Amino acid sequence: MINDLFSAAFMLGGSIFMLIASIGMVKFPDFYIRNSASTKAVVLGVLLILLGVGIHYNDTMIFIEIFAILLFIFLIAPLAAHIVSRAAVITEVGFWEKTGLSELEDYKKEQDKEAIRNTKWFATSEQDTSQRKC
Amino acid sequence: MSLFTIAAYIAIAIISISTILTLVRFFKGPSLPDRIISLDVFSANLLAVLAIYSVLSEEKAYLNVALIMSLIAFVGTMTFAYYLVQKREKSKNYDQ
Repeated sequence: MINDLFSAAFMLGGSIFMLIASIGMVKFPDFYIRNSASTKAVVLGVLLILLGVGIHYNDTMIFIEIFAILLFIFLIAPLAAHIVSRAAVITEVGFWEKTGLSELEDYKKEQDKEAIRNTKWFATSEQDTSQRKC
Repeated sequence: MSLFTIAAYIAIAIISISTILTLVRFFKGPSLPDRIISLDVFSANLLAVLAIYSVLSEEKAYLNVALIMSLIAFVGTMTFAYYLVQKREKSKNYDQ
């Protein structure tokens, strides 16, 4: 009886966290904010639901299996979020304008300056060689 | 129908609503990474539904299905991210 009570409470709590994650997916303004919201809330929701399932079965082998699933999810969720955000930064998905993050812009400007310096050096050397040929 | 069964059905209903919201972001998403993370959340929702369904039908084998499900979802996410980065680098090479 008390088993069923705790199991039902855990499963309902976990499903509510999943619902919060999906609402965040729809309502948030930016890819990066959406990524953070979905990753954290989904991990907590799956943790609670699987704990509820394990409490219902009350079996050692089931708990070992659930531990395997949870270990895997806790390993992969931050990894996947980091890699997808990195791909988004590389493909230049825009930030929200209220984020106020100018570090990436400064980095890009530095890289542009570097590229301009290099191209100027190549251009001057080519001009020198062409003048010598004439 | 015991109280526990009703709670499990309510949990499945809530997760179904969240799946629909995730699909809204999947069809609306302005960029490809949005669609990738919405697929990730979608597969997590599917995993939760499988776990609760294994409780409802008293079938322990569905938990193995959930384990494989999370594995495949991770591989899919990694593949899409890798594809994005590779495509970007290829287009840069074409520009030069």
